[in-house]
Amino acid sequence: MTRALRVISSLALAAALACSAPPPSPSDVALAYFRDLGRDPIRTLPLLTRAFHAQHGLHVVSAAEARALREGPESAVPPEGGDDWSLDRRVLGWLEVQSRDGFRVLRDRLQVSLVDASASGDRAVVTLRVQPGRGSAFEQRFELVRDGGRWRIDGIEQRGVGSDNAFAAFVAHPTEAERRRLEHPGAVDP
Amino acid sequence: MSAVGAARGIRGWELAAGVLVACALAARLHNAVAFPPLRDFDGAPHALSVFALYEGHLPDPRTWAGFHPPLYYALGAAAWRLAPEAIPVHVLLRLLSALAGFGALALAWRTLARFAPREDAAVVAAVAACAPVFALATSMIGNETLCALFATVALSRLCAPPSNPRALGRHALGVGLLSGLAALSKSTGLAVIAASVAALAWRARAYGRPALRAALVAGGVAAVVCAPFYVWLLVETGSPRALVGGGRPADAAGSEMSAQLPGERHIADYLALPPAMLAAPVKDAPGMLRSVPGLLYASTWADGHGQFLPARVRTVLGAASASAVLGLLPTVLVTVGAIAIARRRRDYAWAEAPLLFGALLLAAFLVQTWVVPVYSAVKASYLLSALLPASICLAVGLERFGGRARTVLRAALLAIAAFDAGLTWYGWWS
Repeated sequence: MTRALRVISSLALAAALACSAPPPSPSDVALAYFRDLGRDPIRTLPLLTRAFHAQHGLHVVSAAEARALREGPESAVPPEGGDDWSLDRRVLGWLEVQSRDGFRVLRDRLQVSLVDASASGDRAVVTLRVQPGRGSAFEQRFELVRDGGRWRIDGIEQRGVGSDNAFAAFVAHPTEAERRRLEHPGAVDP
Repeated sequence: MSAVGAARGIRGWELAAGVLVACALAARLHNAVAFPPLRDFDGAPHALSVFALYEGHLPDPRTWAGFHPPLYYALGAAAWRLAPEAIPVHVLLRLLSALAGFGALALAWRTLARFAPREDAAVVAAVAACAPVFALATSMIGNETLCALFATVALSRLCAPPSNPRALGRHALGVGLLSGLAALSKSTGLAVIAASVAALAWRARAYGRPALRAALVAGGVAAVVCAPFYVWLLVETGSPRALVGGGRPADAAGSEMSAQLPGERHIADYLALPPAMLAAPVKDAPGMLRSVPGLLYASTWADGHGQFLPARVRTVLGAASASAVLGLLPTVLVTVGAIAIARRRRDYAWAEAPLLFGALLLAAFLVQTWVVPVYSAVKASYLLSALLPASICLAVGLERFGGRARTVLRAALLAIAAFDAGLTWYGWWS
């Protein structure tokens, strides 16, 4: 019984220590995004708002919907890029894209450095410079909002993306629109 | 053989089996890290449920895995809160699966060693630890091994009831709590409650009314533990199908299952044994999508659903095929054991609760494959909670052989376990 109490008190202490850590700043959150992307996909979830998942547009389809899509354009599936997808579809899409072959390898080639960070009230902006293994560097601008007592990424914009760094930019911020564009023949090989 | 020689012999088998179990455990630790993130069976949907609890609310029951009871996800969320950030969350969740699975295995081994020869118990534990169905479940995110853990603890307790009828109440309290926790891990656990209550009530022959009271206590405690979740699930979804439902996005049109093959079941599906179950034990091989025993067998002794082993690699498919062929021996021994138990039930009265549970689970599984006529409903991991009854049958099957034959069989089973331990080490092919 004493041993059990000791274990329980140790766990409670560890939980208290974990909860008492200082809340991450907006730049901490933006850097954590890159640290966890592809390496620890589940840990990216608390960094993101619902609006972020609406923005990236990635989503899963059920087997029935996939079959309907194959059979013809008249399907019961909501239109691409529409706002009708349920949140779970989008979050599953976000997680699934990170489990794709090669995603982690491409992510590991990205070098990230902080350019600028500013906060005003419940909104913040963080800009990072992303240097791919091949191709030119680009900037990734994070918009963050304070949500439920912590900073979360609400949206991402990229600048300086061209044909030589398109795959790296997709890995840094996977979106459905870019996924479709890169699938086309002629997209630059990573 | 002298007593000293016999004791050495026992220790030798136990040592060999222990080494194999340790290798299996090492393989799971390796797999937890090496297996790519979220490639697990329904890995992302399970992750979504863990995230919901991490954020402090229950998963939406209309989402892919949201219908599952919350215990595994709650433990996963707690581990996420407490563990260092250096350990990826999917690795933590896999380690949780492995911990629960090996906990169940240790208990099954201990229980078996009390009633069967210790050498046989050790060999059976090694076979179970390395069998692909167990290896894959303990390498992946999922709630099956946690359910197997609570099922095995509850059923182990029922194998050794107190001799004093007055102690039955406390015994039933523990059994009820454990079977309730099994049902709070996965709906398969509801069969643990049914088997536990039935086994306690059946003891009324020997104990009289105290046994009936114990059955009521066990059922009541289990209901207190898990009923709030199931009542909430039924109210939220309005359908008892939600107990085994899910498997699609919340707003998906139509049923995910309606798109999967074969789409309808015939009696012949339960009798078909396609050669591919040995030659190419994957669902896409000829005849496998339709054959219930074929796919069940392939997902027991290989990776029938192709989630873990890359079947496109010829060496891997060859190794999976070899594992399926080797799996015939333990399968035959389990069958021999089950027949022997059915013929001499009185000799195995101590095992009536786990065996009843095993039969119930198998029946429920077959009904499910009929009601949900798709290949993804035919996974051997759904039967993982029957670890103890399957172990008992294998040990009894071994017992049917004596002398040199038994020694050869034990050695052959350990060799099969060693082969399977290698087969399920993720990435050996690269």
